[in-house]
Amino acid sequence: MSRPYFIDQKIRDLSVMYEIISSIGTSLDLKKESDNFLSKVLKRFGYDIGSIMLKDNKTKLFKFITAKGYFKTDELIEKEYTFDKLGIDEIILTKKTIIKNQLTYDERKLIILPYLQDKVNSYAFVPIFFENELIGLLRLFSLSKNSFSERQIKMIESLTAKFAKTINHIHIMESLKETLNLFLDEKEKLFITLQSIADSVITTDIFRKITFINRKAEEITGWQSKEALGKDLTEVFKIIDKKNEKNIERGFESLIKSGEPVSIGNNLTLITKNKSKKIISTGVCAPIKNRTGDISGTVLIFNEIIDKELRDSEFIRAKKLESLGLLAGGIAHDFNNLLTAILGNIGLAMVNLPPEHKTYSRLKEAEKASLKARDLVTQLLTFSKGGEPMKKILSPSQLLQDTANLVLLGSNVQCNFKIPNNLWHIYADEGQIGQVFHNILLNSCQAMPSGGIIEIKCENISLKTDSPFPLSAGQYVKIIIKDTGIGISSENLLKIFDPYYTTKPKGTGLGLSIAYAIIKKHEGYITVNSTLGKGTEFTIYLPAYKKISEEITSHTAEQFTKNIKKLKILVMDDEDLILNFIEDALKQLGYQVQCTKNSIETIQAYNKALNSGEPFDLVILDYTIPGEAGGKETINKLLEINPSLKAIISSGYSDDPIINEYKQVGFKGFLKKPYKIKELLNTIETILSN
Amino acid sequence: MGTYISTGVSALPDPYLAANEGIRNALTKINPNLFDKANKLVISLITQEYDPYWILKGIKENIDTSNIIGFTTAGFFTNDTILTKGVLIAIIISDEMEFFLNLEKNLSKDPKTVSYQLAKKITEILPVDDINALLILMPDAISSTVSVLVETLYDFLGAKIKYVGGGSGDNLRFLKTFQFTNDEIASDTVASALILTHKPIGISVYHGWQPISPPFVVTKAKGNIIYELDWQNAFDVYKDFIENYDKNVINYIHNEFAKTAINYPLGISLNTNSINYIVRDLIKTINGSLVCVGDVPENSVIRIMTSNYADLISEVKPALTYTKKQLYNNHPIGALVFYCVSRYLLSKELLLEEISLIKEALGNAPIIGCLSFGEIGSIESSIPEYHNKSVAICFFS
Ligand SMILES: Nc1ncnc2c1ncn2[C@@H]1O[C@H](COP(=O)(O)OP(=O)(O)OP(=O)(O)O)[C@@H](O)[C@H]1O
Ligand SMILES: [Mg+2]
Repeated sequence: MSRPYFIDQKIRDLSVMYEIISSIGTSLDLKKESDNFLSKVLKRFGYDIGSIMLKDNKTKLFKFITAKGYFKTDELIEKEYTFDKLGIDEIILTKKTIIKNQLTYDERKLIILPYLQDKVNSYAFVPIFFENELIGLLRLFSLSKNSFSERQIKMIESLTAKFAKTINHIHIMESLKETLNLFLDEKEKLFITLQSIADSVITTDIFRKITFINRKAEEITGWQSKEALGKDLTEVFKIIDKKNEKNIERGFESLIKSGEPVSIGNNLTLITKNKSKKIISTGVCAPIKNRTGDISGTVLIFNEIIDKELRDSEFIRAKKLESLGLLAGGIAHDFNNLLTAILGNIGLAMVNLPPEHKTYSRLKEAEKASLKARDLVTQLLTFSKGGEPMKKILSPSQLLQDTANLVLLGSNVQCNFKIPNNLWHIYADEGQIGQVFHNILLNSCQAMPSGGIIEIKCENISLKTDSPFPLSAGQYVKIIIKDTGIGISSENLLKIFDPYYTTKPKGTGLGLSIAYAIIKKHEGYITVNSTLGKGTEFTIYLPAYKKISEEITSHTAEQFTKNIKKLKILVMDDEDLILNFIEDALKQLGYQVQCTKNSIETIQAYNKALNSGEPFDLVILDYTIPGEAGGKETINKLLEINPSLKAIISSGYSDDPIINEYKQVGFKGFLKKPYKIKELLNTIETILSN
Repeated sequence: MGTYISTGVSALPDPYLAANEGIRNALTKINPNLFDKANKLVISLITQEYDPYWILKGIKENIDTSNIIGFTTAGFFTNDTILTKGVLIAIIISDEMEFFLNLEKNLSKDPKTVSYQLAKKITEILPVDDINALLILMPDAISSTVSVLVETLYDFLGAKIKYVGGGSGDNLRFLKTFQFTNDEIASDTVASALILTHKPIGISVYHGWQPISPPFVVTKAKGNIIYELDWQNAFDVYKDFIENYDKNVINYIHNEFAKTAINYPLGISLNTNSINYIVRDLIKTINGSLVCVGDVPENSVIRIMTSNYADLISEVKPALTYTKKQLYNNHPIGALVFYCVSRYLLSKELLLEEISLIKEALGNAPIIGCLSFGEIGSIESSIPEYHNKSVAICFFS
């Protein structure tokens, strides 16, 4: 061997080794890595055909991972040539490379090498070991004899050792990847589960920092997962004592110490992110333990209390009241007209009698009964669809005191008031709210037949959006009426607001349902608490009217003016009874009266009087004339004739919004049917004197 | 009957007339009585001046076959002609051979998949029983794709068949080239002809280039582009060596890179057992990289090569002997030669002398010679490769 050739050989060997060594471990893909390794070995060592079989970790069988230079090589790789044990058995036994540089006819036949048996003239099988374990086999075939020199085999063996390490790395990577995927799958499953369950879940680490918050918990606390993660639990899950509104220590530390689940108690008040309150029930706060049993965090499960029962009964109650309202609306109108006539006629009869007359007291009784009937109708009307309250600013404390005095008069029940001086006013229908107080107080009175004390307490209160009551956020006056009477069983407590529910022999069962309907129309809320045998407590929330500066004037015009001028009044009503009553009443009081029964007549009469030079000083129009133009339409026409017209509208319905807007339409006053003569005169006086 | 090969050339400027003249020249050398029973293969080599459409038309009017394959070459040669402008038509007529032609398109888009498709088609044709198979490959010599083509085909078809071929070339002007079969004409394809025969076929590749430099490690490369040699800018390493080696090139290696590099290709060690090299031609330099004709694997070790007339001619005889040896005792009846056009550009006398040596080995049987752009085949008994600056030779018997 000449010297230059020797150097050249060395350069070739080193360059081949360098190239192959540097290419091992360049991919993390088993197939790619094997492909590349085999390809380099074949090319740089000059062999024709080769394959790599690797032991499958699960089946422990040797499988082709790559092959080159076979015919239909792809089919070979696809198939599991587990039967092709050529060389494997021997290598497992000897743990040594097999080299055959010459093949006999028989040896050649042993080669299960599709299509190429005849062409192969030498081969070498190199075991692939990793830490003494046979993990694969590199098989090399040559079409020439004597292709495998000892030098080459040694080189290939050292390359194979390097290749084995890479295979091992890839196996480890693959099992890690598999584990990671399993882990990620599990994590995702858990995540989805926790997200979709109906309970609120928050987890923390041992330092109380939030590590997870599910959708439900986001919803209740108002904290988004993004913001909540990493925050201290007490910042997101803020619980206060209902009474003193102080933060409650939730025993987090003791939980971490003891490792035992703790119950945090029920009916807690949670302060949400936007500072509103929610009532929550807390299931448990439990430790999260890792595999070694150490506590790695906590999991907190809780729920918002939404009183389903409460909501359902509210709904049913509203339905019942609605149907009652429909009925009441139907009859009340006619009833009112009848009562107006009765009251009117009684009034007229009384005007003509001296008070000491026998009949006078009879008539007084009749008037009383009629007024009671009128009240009942009025109450019934509050159920009807519109039944809009005629609101004004008023002081609930005054109204409470007045009502209480009236109700308790002559009973052995006393009333205790706890009302702050700065109690806010309410914007409400005085009659209706008075009715509410009246009904409740009367019930309390009746519940304490042998006497007792009713406590009336008022306070100002601001409610947030998430108050447990069906009330919108804002300022309210809270009124508590508490008795020490017989009480109501919890079973019956659900029914007391139902119309016609009564336990009293002469009761109508309408008192509380009317109270309920009125409060509801005032956008307030009424609730009750009672213990059988101990007493009952009604709580009413009514929206506060905060413009206290506004002057409150209550209508107590008592003066009855007898000096009546001969003024001309035109009255339109479709009811003869009413017309007769008004006509008589006004005439007796010295007015000049003309009655009309519809719009056309009215306008004609008005025009006629106007043209004659003696126009009407006042027009009283009924709001509804069945099937014809009513008061609203009529006044429009009259105003065209005389823009400075003075007119009063009268109606039995208080449910049309127009009643609240009568001034905009052009009326100067409103009379609610049925009205007493006193009320009629009062209204007429006020308007005419302006 | 047996197998007959004949060639005809034409340098007529009109493609249709040239095709007519070429095929008639070839046909006159064959006994017309043989035609009916035999299989025919027509190989057509045309230079880039000729429109393949008219060539095919001309051929078809003279011979009834659906086995026409051809491509654009930089030139061609026969026993007595070398032309760099013209048409060569070769006819193989045989009752011992079967021909299967194929044209696989869009080679450069996804060379691996396209090559696999071709391999698949061939496995369907190739019988399991022992038969000699030769795959003639005529690919568009777009950089980097031919290496993949050859490697993929070998992976899946293996040592059962022999491979010979060359790239479409156009005299280093890098114009668009065409490959065609029957009535399909396209660029960026590989035209192939599979020949099945019971007679042996001889193949060899030789070049004669010798290393002159120490080894350099290809520390950064992708496909056919070398970015770094020995952890340095590839062009700088190359230039430093050449300038040191040949003082004449100092002034123009920058400006006339291709002209310099034609004399100094790179060599990759064939394998540990061989003193031979796979030659890589350098065609240009971009931003300090060296662009080769054919792939250079990263981390392979290359050496800069050169040659002289004596070196180049010295390889011819041993290669011819090796080729002939594969025919056992059969007489060669013709040769298909893919001869690197840059070798021809280096020395025209060399080609003339090689032709006479081949003729000698063939006993005057016809030569179908192609001036190609890269050659496909095996040096000695190694795995087939895409070579540059080499000669791939195939003897039929
Ligand atoms: N303060 C109370 N203490 C005990 N029971 C009460 C009290 N308030 C209401 N109730 C119960 O609720 C029922 C319904 O009351 P509601 O005022 O609606 O009708 P009523 O009082 O029975 O009839 P009416 O109001 O017409 O006299 C009563 O019959 C009574 O059983
Ligand atoms: Mg009652």
